[in-house]
Parts: sequence; C-alpha cells; structure tokens
Amino acid sequence: MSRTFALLGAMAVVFSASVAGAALHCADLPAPIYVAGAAAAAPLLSSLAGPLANGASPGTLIYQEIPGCAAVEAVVRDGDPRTCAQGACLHGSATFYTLDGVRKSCDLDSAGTHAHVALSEVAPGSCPAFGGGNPKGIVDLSGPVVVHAFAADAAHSERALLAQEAHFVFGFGQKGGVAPWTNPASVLIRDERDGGQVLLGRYIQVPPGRFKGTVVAGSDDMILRLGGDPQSGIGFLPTALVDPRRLDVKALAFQALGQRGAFFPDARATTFEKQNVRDGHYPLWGYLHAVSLADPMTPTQAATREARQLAALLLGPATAEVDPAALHVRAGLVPVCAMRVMRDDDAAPMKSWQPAEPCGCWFDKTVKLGQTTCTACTDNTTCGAGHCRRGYCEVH
Amino acid sequence: MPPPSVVCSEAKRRASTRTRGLGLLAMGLFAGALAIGLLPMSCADSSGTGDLAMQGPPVDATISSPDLLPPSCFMGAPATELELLNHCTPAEQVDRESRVPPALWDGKGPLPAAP
Repeated sequence: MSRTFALLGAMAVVFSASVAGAALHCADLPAPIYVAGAAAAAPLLSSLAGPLANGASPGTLIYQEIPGCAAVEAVVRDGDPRTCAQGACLHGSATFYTLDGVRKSCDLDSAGTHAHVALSEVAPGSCPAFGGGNPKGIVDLSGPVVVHAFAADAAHSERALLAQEAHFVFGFGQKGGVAPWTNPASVLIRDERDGGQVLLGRYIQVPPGRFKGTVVAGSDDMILRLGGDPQSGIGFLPTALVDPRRLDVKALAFQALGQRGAFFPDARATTFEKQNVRDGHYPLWGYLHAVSLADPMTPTQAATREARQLAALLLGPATAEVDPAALHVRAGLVPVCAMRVMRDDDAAPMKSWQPAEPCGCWFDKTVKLGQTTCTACTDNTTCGAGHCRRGYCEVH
Repeated sequence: MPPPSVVCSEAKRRASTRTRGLGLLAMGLFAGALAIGLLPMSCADSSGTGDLAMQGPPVDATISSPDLLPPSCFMGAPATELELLNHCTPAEQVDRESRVPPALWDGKGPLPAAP
C-alpha cells in the first residue's frame, strides 16, 4: 500500500509539471513500462493503468502506437541495452494513462528508449522484415483475437466487399476499376509493416508492400479521412476501434474467395458478439502477440521484469486483482476461450477447435448488448454433462 | 478454389427453378417460402449449445434479389476452412454479384498478381 501511495505521489508531482506547461519526460514517470505497437491494443492498454499502478510492483504504462511489425523490429534489433541499434528503440512522443484511463502525452528520450514489449497483430515471422522466418532471441506470447475489417464511413452506400474486389481495389491502384472505390486518393492504406495490412493481404492476395492507395499514419487519421469521402472512401481498421464509433465508421461484410455470401464480424451488423469470427464465417482476424527479448539464461522467459509483469496482466490467468479475459472483452478483443476456430499460424487455414476452458456463454453475455440462452450456474450440478464456467453452463 | 460441398440444399435449389407440373410448382412455392424466411432453416449448425447461431431463421438475411434463393451452405462438422466459411448459419449475410470488370478477371482461375 505504501508503494502505491508513493507512486501516486510521484505521479501527482509529474502531473503538476504537465499542467504548468513544462515538457513531461516519459522517463520521469514512476517505474515506466514501455510498450510499442498495434493500435488495436490501445483500448486494452488504457484499462491496465489502474491494475499496474495498484499491483505488487507498481508501474506506469507508456505506449507508442506504431505499426505492429515496426514494434517487433524495435525489439528484435535491440541487442545492446547500452545503445540504440538501427531500427531499435522508440523516439518522439508517447502516451501514458492516468489511473482513471485518461490519455496524456510525454516525450521519450531523444537518444531513444528501449521498448520492453512489442504488441503485434501478427506473429514476428509474418512481418516483412523477417521474410517468413522466426527471429531468434525473443519470447512471443499470443493472446486474444484481434479482428480486422474493411471499413467505410457510416453513410457509405455499400455494405459488403468481396475478396476479389478488394484484390483489385487495394492491389491495382487506378487500374482497379471496382466501383465505387475507383479513386486511389480515397483508398486508404497503412505502412507495409502494419499487422492488419499483412493479415488482410493474405485473404485478398496482395502482399503488404504492394498495397496501393493513400497511406495514413494512424487509426484516428483513417477514420477522419473515411469521413472526408463517404461515397468512395475505403480503408481497414481493427473492429476494436470501429465498434465504439459506429456512428462514424462501419465494418463492411466480407466474402472470402470460395465463400458464398459476405458476412459481418458479428451475427448482425448491429450486434457485437463477433459470432462469425468465433465460428469461422469471418476470417479476417489474428492473435495479438506480445513480443519481448528473451532471457539468455532462460530463453522461454522474457528478459526484463517489466515484460514479464505486462505479459501476466495481458495474457495470464485471472487473479484477485485483474481478469485479463474481462479486459480483452472490454477492449473489443475476443478472448481465446470464446473462440471455436483457431489457426496454427497467420498463414494457416482456420480449423474447428474447442478451448480447454470455454467461455462462449459468458462472452455472449458480457459484450455490449450481449445476450445468452446458456443456463446460469454457480456450480456444475445444474449443468448436466457440461461444466459451470464464469457463471454459465458451458459444453465442457 | 473448388466450390464447397453442398449437403443440405441441392434439393431446394432444384426446387427453385421454374418447372412444369403441379408437383414441381408446389416445390417451387415451398422453396419460395424458404427464400423469404418463412420456414425455419433445416441445415443444423453443429457448433454447440447456447450459441446465437442456433437461434431461429435468418430473418435479417439481406438478399439482393427476391428471386434468388439463399446461397447453398455446408451442413455437418466442418473439416476444412472452406467448409467453415460456408457452414450453414442464420447470421445476416449480404449476397451480391462481384463488381470486378470482366476485362480484369473473368472469375475463373487464379487472380492476377498485384503489380
């Protein structure tokens, strides 16, 4: 408790400096934990500020949104903690969250800051820089499912996009010719190291470096620019960022090659339960990966205390202080226990799957507007052949 | 990609075609009722209990043309990704034709490589 008070006191001093107009250095924040990567993780990270500050080893989460694969590179190339190798370290400004989840900005060290953890929507081996091979010397922990969607302004006339259409829209530029998405200035894309672009590229057969259109820097910029051309603008976003802003932007239903009919990530365009992601009708998803340098003495373990601490909060089992699965749901991600399909890796086909401890009923009920027909329970006696998990009878 | 296996809907598709005869007309009426969601979907989803996908007919299915039947779907335990993608479901879906100009791709064979 005394450590928490010390942390709170230190943060109060720091915030005062911020209010007074002085530049706030990230390194001055108490026990900083530096995280870089996927925009899809931002809602999840903002919910961790409280548990981190109140935990056994209080810390301050400091996050810089950069393409997921760029974040992975920053970790993989960071071989010397004394210097910042080419492509390693973070520069510029970053975001930290107050105890009540409010975003604030701080400046990273001008010489560069070493990232403790990279968060990526694809596995390190899928990143263009690593050419399909898995980089050595890292720990890669995969976690909740990040869902991606081709997106348009909420007023856009189209409701669906077919894979073959996306192939030409995003892969052929002015020669694409698929109405209404014929203006390359309004076809919005990301850096080739963006994990979403890597993932979507597989399903529309466009390598991430061959996407054609207008590159936008971040998710907020993507949504803004889609609104600038509601009739022909198209881009892509994690649904974790679309769902809270459905008045502004919408996910298009997607029809994969060989599929009959286009499906939304959810059972309906108006619901949030990600039914089609979970049962294999909607394939545009991947696992969130937490990547950090490995301990040379124990290669299966992260090298730094900060990385281990963050991984436990993000991906570990529920504790008295934090329930990671609940955080995943609140952040618009799908906990693995709610899935009924899986992939062995980013390039592998989906296959039917049952988690060891399913939580589909709880997930159905917990999401926004959620509902379930599962039987509520407090123990297994009311579940027949099933098992009581998180207050509902699951199939096992 | 090869077309998905169709297990439960071949008879319905044949019933939907305009044919001669009262018996076939009755089958056409049955198929028409199915197309506009008046009858519960008979393709079972084997994905488990307490699942929204198991609940009722596709009343929100968006069909681009009222003359089109719902697309064929795969019934049973899916063993491949294609079967998962095409598994029968009452989830909302959007059916429409591809807008890729035929001059760019005829819809057969592999897609041309992105330049």
